[in-house]
Order: sequence, then structure tokens, then C-alpha cells
Amino acid sequence: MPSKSTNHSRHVAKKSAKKVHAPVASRRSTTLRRIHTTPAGTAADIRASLGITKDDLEAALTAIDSAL
Amino acid sequence: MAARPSIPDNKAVFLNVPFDRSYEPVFLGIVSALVSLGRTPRCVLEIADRGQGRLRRILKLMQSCRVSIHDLSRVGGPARFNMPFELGLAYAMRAYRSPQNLYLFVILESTPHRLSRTLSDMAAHDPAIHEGTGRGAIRAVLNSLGTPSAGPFPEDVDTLYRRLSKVARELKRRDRTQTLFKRGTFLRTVAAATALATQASLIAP
Repeated sequence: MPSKSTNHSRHVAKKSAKKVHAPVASRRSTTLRRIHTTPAGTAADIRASLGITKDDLEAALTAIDSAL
Repeated sequence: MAARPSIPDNKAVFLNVPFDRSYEPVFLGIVSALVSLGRTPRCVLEIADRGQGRLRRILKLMQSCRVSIHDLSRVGGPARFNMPFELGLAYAMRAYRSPQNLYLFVILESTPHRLSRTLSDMAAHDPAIHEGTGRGAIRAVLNSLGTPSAGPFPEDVDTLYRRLSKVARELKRRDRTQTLFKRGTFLRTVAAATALATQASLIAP
């Protein structure tokens, strides 16, 4: 059976390991972490979500060609 | 009568910002950063008013988003009450939505420490400071909604922003308008931002 001091050392080591990996404990960081896990949308997703039509996209591409 | 709730789009970000010409650089910075993060910038401009009223349109749009950005940097006269009012709506949505359907809001300001005087009720919330510039807006949005380890890097978004600013000028010229804050011009500006972000490999096509 392990001695009392060994158990204590293990407990301390476990606690510090947890501290290293644990995220900053605040309500805000929890909220942001949830939001961050959302997969990024593609350009097509953004256009569909916003209701950008083919005509709008064509106009944007023409403006890019003219401006750049 | 309350607006009918819709299923929130996780990637949609409602923009509650001043629609004036001097704000356009900051607005383009916000749009550049959001598109680079694969998020959809939404604002009341995009919905044509079919008699339902502006506030109803705003509520419906906010309910369809998961996140909102509120810029409280316009503090001079004449008084602009729309932004703090809509922040109040967002605060209520955050307070009363279920944890599974969490709502997040981000506050933007141009000047540090001013919010504690202009809106002391929000004293516990630190605004992201954009210093009234597009580059500042990019960093404020990336810091608030981005994941530093996953990118994009602010320098990459700066390049997109510079290109988008040129394209936005061209779009205004073609649309014969002095401002970006018209429905069609706004939609085409976001369309241009997605095309430029795809070209820069910041997001997938």
C-alpha cells in the first residue's frame, strides 16, 4: 500500500497537470469556446445565408476586375 | 406582437453599427474579418421593408443569428440611441435564451475606458477597441470571435481589407451611390468579400 506522502505527491502532480490543461475559467471564455467550435462557413454558405443572387455575385466580380 | 422566432444560424453575425459614410472603413474591416472567419455578416439593410417596420425586422434578424456586434463609438451629437437600444435587445436574448441556444454579443468602441462612463450598466463587459480604423476593427473582431491558433492572421485580413476597400469604391460608383449602406451595395460588397477571401485561400469556395 503506498505511503501517505506518495499519495499526496500524486494528488499534487495530478492537480498541477489539470491546471496546465484546463482553459481559463471564466464565463466569457466558455461562451467563446462554444462559438469557436462552430465550423467555418464557405463562400457559398455565406452567399446562401445572405441571399446574394447570381446577379449580385456577377456585379461583385466585375467590380473586382475593374478595381484591382 | 413578438417576431416569430427562427432557428439561429451559428455562423451569422448581426451587425448593429452606425450607417454613416465616416464609418465605412470600420464597417469594411468588420466585414473583412467576419468573412475571413467564415461567418456571415447580417444587418437590417439586407431586408427590404415590406411594411413590417424596422424594429420588427431587426428583432427577426437578431433571432436568426447566434452572435451580434454592437458598436457604441458614436457618442457625439446628435444622440444615437439605436445602438445601445439594440444592445439591450441582445442582452435580453442572452439572458433568456436556453444554454443550448446561447447568444453572444460583442461590444465595439473606438476609445478605451469610455464605455464605463457612457453606459455604466455594461461595466462588467470589456469592449473591443477599434480606434476608428479598419485595421483596428479587424483586430477587434478577430480577437473577439477568432481562434488565434487557427487563424486567419490579421495581416492576411489586412490585405483582403485593402482590396475590398478598392472594390467597394468601384461598387459605389457603379451603383451611383455615396454610401455602402444601401441594400444592393451591401450585398454586392459581401459578395466581393467572399470572392476575395476565396482567392486568398482564407475560406473554401
